[in-house]
Amino acid sequence: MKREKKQSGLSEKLQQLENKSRKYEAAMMPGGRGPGGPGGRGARGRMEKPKVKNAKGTIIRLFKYLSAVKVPLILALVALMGSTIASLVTPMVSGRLIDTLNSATGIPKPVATASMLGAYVATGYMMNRKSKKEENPENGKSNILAEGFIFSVTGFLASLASGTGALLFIDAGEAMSALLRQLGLMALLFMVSSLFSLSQQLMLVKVAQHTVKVIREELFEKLQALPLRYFDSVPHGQIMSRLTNDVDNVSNMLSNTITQILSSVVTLVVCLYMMLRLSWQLTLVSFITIPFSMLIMGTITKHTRKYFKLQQACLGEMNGIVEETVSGARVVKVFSREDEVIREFEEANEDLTTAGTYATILSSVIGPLMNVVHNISFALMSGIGGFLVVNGSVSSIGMIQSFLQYSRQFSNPFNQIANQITTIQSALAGAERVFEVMDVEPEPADADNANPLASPRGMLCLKM
Amino acid sequence: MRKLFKFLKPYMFFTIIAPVFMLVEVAMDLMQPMLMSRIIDVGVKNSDKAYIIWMSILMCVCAVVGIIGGVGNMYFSTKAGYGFAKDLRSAVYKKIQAFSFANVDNFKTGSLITRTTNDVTQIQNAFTSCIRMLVRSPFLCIGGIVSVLMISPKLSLVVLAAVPFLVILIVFLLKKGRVLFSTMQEKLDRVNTVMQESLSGIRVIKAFARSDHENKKFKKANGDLTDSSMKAMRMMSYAFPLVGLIMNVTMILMYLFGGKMVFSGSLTPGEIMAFSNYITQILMSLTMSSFTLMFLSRAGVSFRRVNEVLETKSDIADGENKSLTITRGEVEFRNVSFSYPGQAGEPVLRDISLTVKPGETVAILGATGSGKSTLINLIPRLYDATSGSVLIDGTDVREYTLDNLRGGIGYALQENVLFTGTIEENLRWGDENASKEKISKIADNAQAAPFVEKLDKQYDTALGQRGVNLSGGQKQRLCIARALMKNPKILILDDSTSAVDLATEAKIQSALRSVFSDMTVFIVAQRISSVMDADKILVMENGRIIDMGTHAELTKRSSVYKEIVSSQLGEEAAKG
Repeated sequence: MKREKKQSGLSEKLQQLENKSRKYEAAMMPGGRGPGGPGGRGARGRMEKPKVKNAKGTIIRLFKYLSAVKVPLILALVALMGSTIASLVTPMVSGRLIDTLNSATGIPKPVATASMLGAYVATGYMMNRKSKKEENPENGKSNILAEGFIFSVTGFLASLASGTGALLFIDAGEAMSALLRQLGLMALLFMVSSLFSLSQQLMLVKVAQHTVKVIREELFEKLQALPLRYFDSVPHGQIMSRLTNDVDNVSNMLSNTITQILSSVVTLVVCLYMMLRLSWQLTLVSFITIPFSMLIMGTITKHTRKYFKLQQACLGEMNGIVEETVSGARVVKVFSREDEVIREFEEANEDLTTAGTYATILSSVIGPLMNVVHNISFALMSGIGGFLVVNGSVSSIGMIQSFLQYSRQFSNPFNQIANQITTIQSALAGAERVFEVMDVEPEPADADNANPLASPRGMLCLKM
Repeated sequence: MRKLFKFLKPYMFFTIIAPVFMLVEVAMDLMQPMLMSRIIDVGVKNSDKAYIIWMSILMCVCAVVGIIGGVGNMYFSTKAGYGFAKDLRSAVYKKIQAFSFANVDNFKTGSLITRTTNDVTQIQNAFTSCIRMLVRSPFLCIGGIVSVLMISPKLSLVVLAAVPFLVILIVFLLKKGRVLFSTMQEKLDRVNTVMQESLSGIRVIKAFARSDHENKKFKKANGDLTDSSMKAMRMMSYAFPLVGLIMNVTMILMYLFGGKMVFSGSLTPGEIMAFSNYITQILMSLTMSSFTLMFLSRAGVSFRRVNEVLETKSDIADGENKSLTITRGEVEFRNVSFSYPGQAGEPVLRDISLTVKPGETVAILGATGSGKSTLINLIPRLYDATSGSVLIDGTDVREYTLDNLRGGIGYALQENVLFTGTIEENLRWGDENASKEKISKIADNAQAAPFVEKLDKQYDTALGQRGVNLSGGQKQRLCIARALMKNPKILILDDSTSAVDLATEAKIQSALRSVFSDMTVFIVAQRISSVMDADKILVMENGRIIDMGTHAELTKRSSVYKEIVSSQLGEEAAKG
């Protein structure tokens, strides 16, 4: 077997991977290949690189499965709404409070503004960095709602605290009761939000697990009905990979992505509305940086998507190799082919490592880059917002406060969707592979009035 | 455990440096609140613009350094994780290839597949998670606690009161988690096994119309997997909201008491703000470590499973003498007995003694279970005799290296396994460097050439898994050709012409006699036609050789043999 790879630079390695990717992905199709000898691997004519050919169709089909779990799904969505709304109410409340506190004091506006903006920026910044760090896209079980919730609460409380500083100058008693009232309201919001959050998670677990169970069962049953021809042409390891790895991807998407996307959309719409109501000028400012974020995200994810898929393809290949050479171990041994099959395995192993490492590292850059963009945007808004307040064109600090909080929440969804794109892509590709198997022409079904042979005598007659 | 650390060694540098970068990031994170409160308390209070500007610049610098730390950490931890996983997978597969059949039977193919791929991935994920999070969280937590103590010991009590609650919650979730995840992996294994067995036995399933039964079996395994997954995921769903609750209650309490302290002047607004930040930090980091620990417990199960494979010693040890090769092809069995490992009761082979001279053709006949295949499996050391010895050219087979031993033996197995690839690639398994002429010549001898040449692409025709698109007889002939490619001194044909018609079989036999006259041939067969012309025919029953001789001799004196002949060739032939 030719040793194709030298340990040369990264770009060369990636180029070689690219050339081989067709081979790996061709193996996914029936009539594809498994381990073989040198040279013409699976080059049966030119195989198309399987992309998500019919994303819409696949999604629709996936939704059909979801309709079986309508009740928990709807409950989950209701809870989701509740949770989102609770977290979105917070900024308005905090804004009003700040106004009340400030109007009761004689503190010069700039000072109060600065302190509150400072508080807000610091807290939001801290929270944002933390929530980004803890999201592990490969095993993403980040709960966007809990994040948004915790964040907005903290943001509010922090600004409240600095507002409390302003209370140094006013009657402590009055301030205290106001404080208590607000805290009570917040506590209520917490409880409500937590409950919603919990029930939503529970429902979604049920939805995801049940759907995946049904898909697996259906796949297996369909397999049993396929003609022998199929089993002879597709390596068994590849079939198994579809049932396990590919279905797993779908499961991940169902339990995580749906929440993220839905809540993202809701948050986006509500935030935008609020922002526009508060100050169209600032809304425009916040839009400046969006194209940059999208550009960064789009370029990087397009690249990484390719390599994540390749990683999965290599995994399928390795599955195939192990299955074939272990169940055919006798032959491997008597022909002393251990070294050769190990070499083949190593090649797929190496490719998987290269593709996976590259894709993962590249993905991890997205987070920090987005952070930088957001913080720039934030600084811009804080500055301009403060200016507008001092200037008098925006009537209240409280509005700025709310605006900043909403704009913070406005940017989150973009991040979340970005993180999910990889998951969505691999899940859809996986679902397609699963449906591919399900769609193979089964053996002819029994005729309606088929005659069960009750007591066969054994007479067989072949008529041409 | 220690064995797995051996794999980490080459990546030690990365493994250590990644947390270092993480520490840099953590340090920057810890500084931010402090800087911010400085801005408020000193800058804003004293309206010191310059101070504010400098501090802001410092904050930006810290942010940048923090990002470098974060990215650096990701880079090194990813490299370490993937590299470590690659080596582990490779080692597991190599081990599997070195396994004897008994070892493979012990584990089951489906489980071996899971262990090589899925379990290693679990370990990789846990490892990467660990060196990213597990270092960060304790530091953030401790750093945060120290910071709040420095600001206000009194107020810190609120925080410190919350920590035990959190810890108890986490420990409880972990304990439950370990059990649930362990069960989940086992259920996954079961699903894989059912799948694999169904796929490899699909012919049998269809022939016996057992599809419904298989579906039921799968439904059960699948249902079990779903149930245990749901339990595990449900438990994890509680984790985050509960933790959030504890956090928020703590916050409220903090603002309550903190607010009072601000009113009374013992605390500044900036300090309260820093406080709130640090609290969030402390509680969040505790939560995150709990998730990582959950990963670890899940991976613990995978550790065990992978270790099991790595620590299994292969039953068949390689011979020492590298220079020994088979030259003549004389085979001798000396008082050989054999039982399968772990099998109680009667041995499969009992006290077999037999000498076969170079160039002889020996046929082995007998009912199913009489020990025919087992006997010949001992020659290339697919199994080792439990007592007695097998000798080739006068030397015990255990002294040859496996490569040299098997290199001199050609074997066409009972299960005609061809691999994915072209016909030519399959034949090259016998001789990697054969010329195309040799390939067609051997194919001709095995009577495979006629049908291969009729195919569109002839020798370049691609075969599917297990050599599809060919009939049983065609596959068998290719397997014989593949074995002959080795130019072996000893040829073993295990029921390899059962699907071949009599005329073709006769042609193969005559080719063997003429072209490969020096070759010692063992033929295991069911058909008399296959064995009639052998130099020696062994009749086996219950693990013993009950008679030995030529066809003529046996027809005269062996009643068992006569019965077989008459049942196949009719009464007349049995009369000899």
